[in-house]
Amino acid sequence: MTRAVYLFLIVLCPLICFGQENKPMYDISYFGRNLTHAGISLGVNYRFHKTNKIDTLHLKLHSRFLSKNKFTLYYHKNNHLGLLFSSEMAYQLVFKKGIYLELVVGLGYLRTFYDTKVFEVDNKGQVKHIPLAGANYFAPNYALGFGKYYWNRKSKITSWYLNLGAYYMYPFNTKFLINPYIQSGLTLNLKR
Amino acid sequence: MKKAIIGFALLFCMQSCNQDRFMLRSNGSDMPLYVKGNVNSGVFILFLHGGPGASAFYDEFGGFFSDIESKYAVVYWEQRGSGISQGNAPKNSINIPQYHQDIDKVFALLNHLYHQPKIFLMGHSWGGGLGVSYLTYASDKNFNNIKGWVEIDGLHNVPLSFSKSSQFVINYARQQIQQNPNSDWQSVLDFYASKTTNDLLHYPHTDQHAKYVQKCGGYWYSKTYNYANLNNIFFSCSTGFDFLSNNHYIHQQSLESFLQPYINLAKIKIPSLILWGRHDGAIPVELSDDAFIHIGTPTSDKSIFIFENSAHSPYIEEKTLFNQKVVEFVNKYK
Repeated sequence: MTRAVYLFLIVLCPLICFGQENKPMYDISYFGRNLTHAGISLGVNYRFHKTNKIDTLHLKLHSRFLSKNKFTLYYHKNNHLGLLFSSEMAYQLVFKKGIYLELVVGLGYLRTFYDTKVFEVDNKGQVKHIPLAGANYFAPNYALGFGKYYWNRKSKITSWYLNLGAYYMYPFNTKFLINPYIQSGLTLNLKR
Repeated sequence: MKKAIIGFALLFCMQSCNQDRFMLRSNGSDMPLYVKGNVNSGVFILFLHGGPGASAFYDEFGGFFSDIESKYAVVYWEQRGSGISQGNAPKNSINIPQYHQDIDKVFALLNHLYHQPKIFLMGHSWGGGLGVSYLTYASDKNFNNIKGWVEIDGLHNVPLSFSKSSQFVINYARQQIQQNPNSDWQSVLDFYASKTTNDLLHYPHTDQHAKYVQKCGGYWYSKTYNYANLNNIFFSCSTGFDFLSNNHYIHQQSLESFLQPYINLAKIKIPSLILWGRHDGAIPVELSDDAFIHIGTPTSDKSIFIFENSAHSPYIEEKTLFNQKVVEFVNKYK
């Protein structure tokens, strides 16, 4: 527990405090552990760096860096309910017409609550129920994805995206556990 | 949004109310148990899965004990660091005394939740070895509520098992070379010529030996079951990765090498049923006689049955007959 929280906090603080040069964007998405175990993710994104157009390949593209801070709640039936707090760095390569490719690397803290009753038996054979039992994990993640920006729309929706990635649960039974995930959602500019 | 949160909460509560699915927390490991079948019978069969590091839940997904479940309750228990067990089991907790303590706690929990049921132990492969080691240990504690023991292709004699299994592969390789002298089976013979039985108990040789047994058809005879099917991976309580992650680590511990000192078949006095697949290449059928002869139960209360169309997992390959044999045994000794 302590290890997981410390590791998370050490990296989270600098990311949150990163010099943000832009208005926050909000993020709402479907999150699927192993694709099918559904959840919802809410986040706030800041763009903190944007390059000028890169014309060497005549693709009229530019790149941008974003920091993303997310809270994800997902449910894996008969396994656990997961609360995942993550802080991510995203690098986006944006093509003309707003289509972009994205690489995401993040660190997080995962708290699980088992989807069942948990009991402990002491040395005398006495049984004790443990309420809200679960486990704490350090949860780094990475993902690759693509999306599209809507530059000229007046709608609050500024982009949609689809990412495929994996998050880790560490320590998990003396090792770690890798969990593939899918995340697909919308980015919103609420002040538009 | 509000509806989504309420929906999640309701779903969570509904699942939490399922009395027959629960977990045991013991020395860092959170081990799931699933009690399925006729709980009202008051007779529970605790299944010790194989591996080491495999999963009881994957066998439950397959419904291999459904006929037993229609009469009695079957308890599927994920051993520490195995299957879909969670938590953070320390490395030094992967040892036989800890396994025994875990089984003690499983019994205590079943007694608490189901009011002293009659319990039978049933172990497959590694679970067969773990079962006899537990019964050896439990014989000193004079446990009265274990009504019987069912061993399925069990690892109760590690050196003999690996010796016979090696011979199984060598015989198969020689047959293949006779049929086709240019085949690559000579390399298999070379492997066994350079290894002692003791070498095979350690990595990476254990892995290599298992691959050769697989190549010789030593695990499956009349049909196979693919545990990594879409339902198990995407729509079950597992993700597949948890099973793989746990399995790899536990198997690496090569528990076989330190299981043997805890086994004394002569100490087992309870009714026993020995079930084996005729074509098992992993723990060959000769081991069934070894178990039958050395288990300390009076001859009138122990029996043996060989499944002619099965290899290592007769409960999968000849499910109906297997279920029938177990139900008959439990009927007699419950």
